[in-house]
Amino acid sequence: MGETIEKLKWLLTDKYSNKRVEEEIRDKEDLLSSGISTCLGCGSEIGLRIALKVLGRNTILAIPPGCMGGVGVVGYGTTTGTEVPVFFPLLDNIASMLSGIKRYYRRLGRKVHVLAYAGDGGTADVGFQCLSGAAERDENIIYICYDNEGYMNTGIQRSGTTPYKAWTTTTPVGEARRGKPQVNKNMPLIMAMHEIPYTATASIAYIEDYVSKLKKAAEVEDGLAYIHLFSPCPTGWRFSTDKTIEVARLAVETNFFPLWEARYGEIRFTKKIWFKKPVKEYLKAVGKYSHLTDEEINEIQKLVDDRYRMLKSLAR
Amino acid sequence: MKIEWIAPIGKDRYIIKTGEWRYQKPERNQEKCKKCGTCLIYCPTGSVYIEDDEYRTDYEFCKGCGICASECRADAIIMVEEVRE
Repeated sequence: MGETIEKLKWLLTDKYSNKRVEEEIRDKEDLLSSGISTCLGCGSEIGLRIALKVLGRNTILAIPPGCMGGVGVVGYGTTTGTEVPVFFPLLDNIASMLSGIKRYYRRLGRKVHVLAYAGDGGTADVGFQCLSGAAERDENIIYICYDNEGYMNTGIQRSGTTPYKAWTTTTPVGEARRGKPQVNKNMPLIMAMHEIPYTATASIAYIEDYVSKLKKAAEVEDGLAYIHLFSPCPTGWRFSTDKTIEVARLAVETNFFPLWEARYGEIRFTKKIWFKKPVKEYLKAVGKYSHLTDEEINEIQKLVDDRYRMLKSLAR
Repeated sequence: MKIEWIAPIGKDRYIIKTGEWRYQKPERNQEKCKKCGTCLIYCPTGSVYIEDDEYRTDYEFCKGCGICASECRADAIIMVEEVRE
């Protein structure tokens, strides 16, 4: 009996769907240099590699300062880390710069994908006003935010998407403070409420889901497509490098980071969690939450439940 | 005038031999391998490739993070200590 339940549980997880997506992407050209100097077990690197495989050569990439800029995707001197044209906008003008590029190519009559791959600092904090403006103007760009919940490139500082009670170097754990005292921004929902053609959350543990969302984002022609990619960071979150995918999967299975998509503000869940796990399992797997007491874990569980309930009330 | 590319691309590739960072390396048991492709899609460096209908790892860029070994359902990949001359 127990064995049957285990097998059923496995069938309802993502692992059996890997074969389908693997056949789809394995023969596609890898447009990102293998030798870029990301940390071991980097989640964002998987995200960018797959995004470029799906979108193909007709893509113009913008990488703002951040992890992906620092590791050499943009390159140094005359070098570049990708096989596609790559731009280096400032942190606060990513979406504006891409709007101009897209308008120029539309005028030339050429169909190109204009892709931004920005961190959560460049999206939710510094670059937010130009992103919000581009969303309102219906600029046709694809914007992927890889959310590693902090300014990891400059030394693990807190950002707008760092969760409640998480340790960072600027929100230390001690007698006076216990991690970040504020609750994080619900960035994907903020973007969905702009009522842009396509908004989605994705996780690197669910590649099939991510690939299908990338394809939908690539088809959008009348406005901005935004994908919020959950990308665990072994260095900044303090867990072992081989646990990246496991942590990303736990975040989805505990409803800490639910997967959904929205078309013009209409929300639909894309991943139904049949066996919801307590958020404690996720928090125990990540070192930046290792200081939490049981009361604090219950507090976070309540926050996660409240957010999920709010999202569910908006979904159809 | 026909423009071949959409925008100028950098002259040289930025490539670091990240394989030199490795302190443990994945070793594959081809008999146990179920060919599900999990290691290929989750490899951050894109180092897994298929040759002669077998999944293999390119050790030139593999950083030895261990994602493939921990995600492999069939336990066909184990991490062993890297020995250098």
